[in-house]
Amino acid sequence: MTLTPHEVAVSQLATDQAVSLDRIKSLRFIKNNIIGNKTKKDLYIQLGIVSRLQDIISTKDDKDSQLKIQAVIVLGSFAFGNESNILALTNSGVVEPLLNCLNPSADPKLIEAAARTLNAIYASPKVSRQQLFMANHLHILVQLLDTFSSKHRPGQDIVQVHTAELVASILARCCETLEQQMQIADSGAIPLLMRLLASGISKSQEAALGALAALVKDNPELAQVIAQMRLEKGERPAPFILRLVRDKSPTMRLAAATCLTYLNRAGVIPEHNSDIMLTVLPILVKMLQLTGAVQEAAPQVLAHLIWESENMQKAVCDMEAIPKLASIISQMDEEDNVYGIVGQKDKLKENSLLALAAISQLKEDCRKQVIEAKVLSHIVSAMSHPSVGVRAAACQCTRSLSRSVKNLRTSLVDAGIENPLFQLLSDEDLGVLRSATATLCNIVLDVSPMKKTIMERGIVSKFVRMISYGDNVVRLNTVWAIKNLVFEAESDVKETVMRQFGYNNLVLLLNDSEPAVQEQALNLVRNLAHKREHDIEQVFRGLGNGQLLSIIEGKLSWDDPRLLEHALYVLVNIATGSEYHKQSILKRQGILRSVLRSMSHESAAIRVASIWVIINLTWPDDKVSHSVHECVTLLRSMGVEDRLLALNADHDLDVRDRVKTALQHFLMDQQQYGHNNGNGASSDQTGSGIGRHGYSSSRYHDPRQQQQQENIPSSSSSSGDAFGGGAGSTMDTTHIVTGGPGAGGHDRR
Amino acid sequence: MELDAHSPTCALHLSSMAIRKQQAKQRQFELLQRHQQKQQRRKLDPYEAVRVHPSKTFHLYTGSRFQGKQRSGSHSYDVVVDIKHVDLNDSFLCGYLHIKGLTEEYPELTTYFEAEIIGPKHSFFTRKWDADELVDEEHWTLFRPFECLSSSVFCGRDKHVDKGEGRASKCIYRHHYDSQTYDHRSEDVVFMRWKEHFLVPDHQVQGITGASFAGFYYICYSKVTGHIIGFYYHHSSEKFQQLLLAPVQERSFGSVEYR
Repeated sequence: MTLTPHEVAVSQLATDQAVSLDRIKSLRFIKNNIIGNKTKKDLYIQLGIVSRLQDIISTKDDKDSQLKIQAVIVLGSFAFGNESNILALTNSGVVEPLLNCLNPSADPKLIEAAARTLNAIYASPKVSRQQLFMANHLHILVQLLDTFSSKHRPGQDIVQVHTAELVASILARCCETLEQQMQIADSGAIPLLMRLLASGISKSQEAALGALAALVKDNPELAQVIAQMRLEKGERPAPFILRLVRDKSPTMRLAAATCLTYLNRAGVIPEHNSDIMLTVLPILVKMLQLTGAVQEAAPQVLAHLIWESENMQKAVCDMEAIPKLASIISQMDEEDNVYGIVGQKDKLKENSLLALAAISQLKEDCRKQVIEAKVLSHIVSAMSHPSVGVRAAACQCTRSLSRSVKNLRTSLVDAGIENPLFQLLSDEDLGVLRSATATLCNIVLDVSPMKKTIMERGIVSKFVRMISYGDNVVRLNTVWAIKNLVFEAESDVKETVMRQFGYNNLVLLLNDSEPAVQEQALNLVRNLAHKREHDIEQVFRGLGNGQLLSIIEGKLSWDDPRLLEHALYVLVNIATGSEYHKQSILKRQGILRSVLRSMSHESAAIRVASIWVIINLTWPDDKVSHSVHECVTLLRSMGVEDRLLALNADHDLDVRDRVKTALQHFLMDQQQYGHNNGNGASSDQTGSGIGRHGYSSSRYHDPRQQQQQENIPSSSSSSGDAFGGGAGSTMDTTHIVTGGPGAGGHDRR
Repeated sequence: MELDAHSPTCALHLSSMAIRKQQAKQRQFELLQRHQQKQQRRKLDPYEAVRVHPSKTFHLYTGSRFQGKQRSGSHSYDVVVDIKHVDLNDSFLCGYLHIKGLTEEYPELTTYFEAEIIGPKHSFFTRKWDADELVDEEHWTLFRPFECLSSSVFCGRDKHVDKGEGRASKCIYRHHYDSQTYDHRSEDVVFMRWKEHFLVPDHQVQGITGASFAGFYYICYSKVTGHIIGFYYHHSSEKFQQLLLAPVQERSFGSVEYR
């Protein structure tokens, strides 16, 4: 039996086999054979070379660093650019011995080689980062950033610099989670990275930018720390990095732009907003026309930078970024069709879609440009792409585009997004599921023609599964979608939805651990109890006797203004219901006290909501005039009327308008029953008191006209058309033309 | 109180100062809220959808409805307008316009329209849809609240309205119109152009016999009264067809928001 030279080489590596010189020779032979040759790499791995190499680098014997260095280099060669090989290496446990090679007392060349190999291994996101953060490894690694340390021998400068660059790159790749970011920061890396940034050596600066960017990404706390640091000459990092954005090297420009993007999103460099608009944005847009890695990453950075900023989205739109992105995406689709090379440029496609999603997120004009760029059909087909990243990004695009009544009614229906979207609601990838459920929220709006068809497909039955999926975002999106679905819906739609979804699930959502979910759940209750007495009764029954108001009472005591406002509007809507519904509110002192307190809230929207509660509770109704009187008396005794009078001078016009209506209810009650709640005011005094407090509005010059305009509900009018222009009443056009200062006297000339 | 200082004839600035103050306070409040949210130690989701809180100003909000008539010569048609989305920051709103009895083929016709709200984004000058400056002037000046602005907009000089006859006193505001600073959010009257785009429910229907929505409306909405007045313009249609709408008062409020 004869052995191939490869088998011979591998067998010579065994520790008990040969003298080290022969083993080094074998390693060199292997190294030269495998460089750039995937087949040979696979062959050697099958021959079991990995464990042999691992044995070599694991020996405690430090005398023979040449052998170790060669073994580490060969490992690096296997790892380079091939994910399955990387996993073959890590599965046999090479990371730990490689980390041990970084020992500061070791040969600097061995340290450099080990850092290079580790960097190649960590290029794969599938490799666990855990070991790096165990024992003393992180500390040792970070010390290697210190190129000015005196511990190293002279003449090793270049090796040290390379090592530092590799370490910065490793740190950038091991900085995914908040915990990892914090541990790296705690290990003292930041000042050393700053020094590397100011080193003046391009490659080192790029590496430092990469690590700093990874540290501040989506982490406002560290971003703040870094933005406040000073470089050696006393300069802050941001202006320094801004200069690097104009560097001649595209990779440097990208690295600098990325770092500034993350600092900007964290909101820690507001003084540079205009620099970023004027310098960074155009540079990123120009990168879209480059090739390779820079072109691939640029749209993702762009998306990140402009995601929250309307102004930046508009600016990028004006720079013609949309046609550029559209042509990247559509050209890629054509190439796929011709050559069948699906998968090679997935990341570029994903990032370009993400950029389109970002641009069209907030501005209708930008959405219009995306539609006009004729890229929608490509976006829709990308929703069924094999790559999860592309699917999720395409879905983000449809989410942005569906924030428009016009698109919902036209282009999105024409492009047929409904089918692929419905498919994605069963996707196994969390990212896809998140963006699909977000898009769904817009698709089920009352203005969307797809609402009806997607309901017929049984979307409601999917809701229960979606809220129990165990992801906060998916749960939030689901309750959001249900809320939008029942907005202004007919009673039977609401009943169908709640029968399938279950009030027990609604209770769970109302008490969810995430305030954002609670907020949407309250909104859902608000929409369920909207408009019809029958609908209100359904919610009362569904949530069980008294539970609805107990929940609302709980929410009212929270500090969160969003919860407060929606809880108040639930009350507003309930108070339009039957006598029983109103009484249920009035019976709860806790609720009434919270409403009173909310009337002085700093947010005008909350003041308006709380006054609406009062207006609806005191709404004149002949059929139950006595209980309205009792209600007014109760509220007056609690000090509601006094609070309203104080709000007569509110700086908010909407508040004042609502106050006026509410006070009219109190006034009417007073006129009918007299003021007998112990204030001691006789009816004469009351009359003058009204004027003093401003019952008769100073805003209208003719109080009679005002009364006519608002058609103040009188004791003889039925509650249905109590307000002028009410749903049932025919409008008096003469009244509009002449009535009020805003509309009067414009007769045709 | 500030309100007392207002000239009773000034329809534009009844409460602008108050609105400005309120906006400043509201903004401070929102900043505080945002700050509090950022305090939590948790990694941000960079692709979390930015919320588009639907705007609500007086009678203009998602789900609000206006009812009234369109007058064309001696004819009068029932009109209902449903507001579907309002984005004041983007000077945008849109909705459906239902009109009854216009043609036999469509006893009830619904169109989707979009509004350009005059302010930071859109000027009084239409410069499209076959409307030149003369057409603009001819229409805007039909609205009484526009009188204070008219000469400033079209002649480039300010003129204070003083009708004399005891009823009107001098307007204390300098109604200088500056396209850079004019903002509908601080005015009591909102001027808009409403342009219909397609039919609802079928957006692909092209021509309708006996009716057309090729033109657009000049619109004047008063936050104070809630009333909307409009004039339709299309170069080949009857001039000054008038839209008169009043808000349908609601006292129950749903909630809806894009994701």
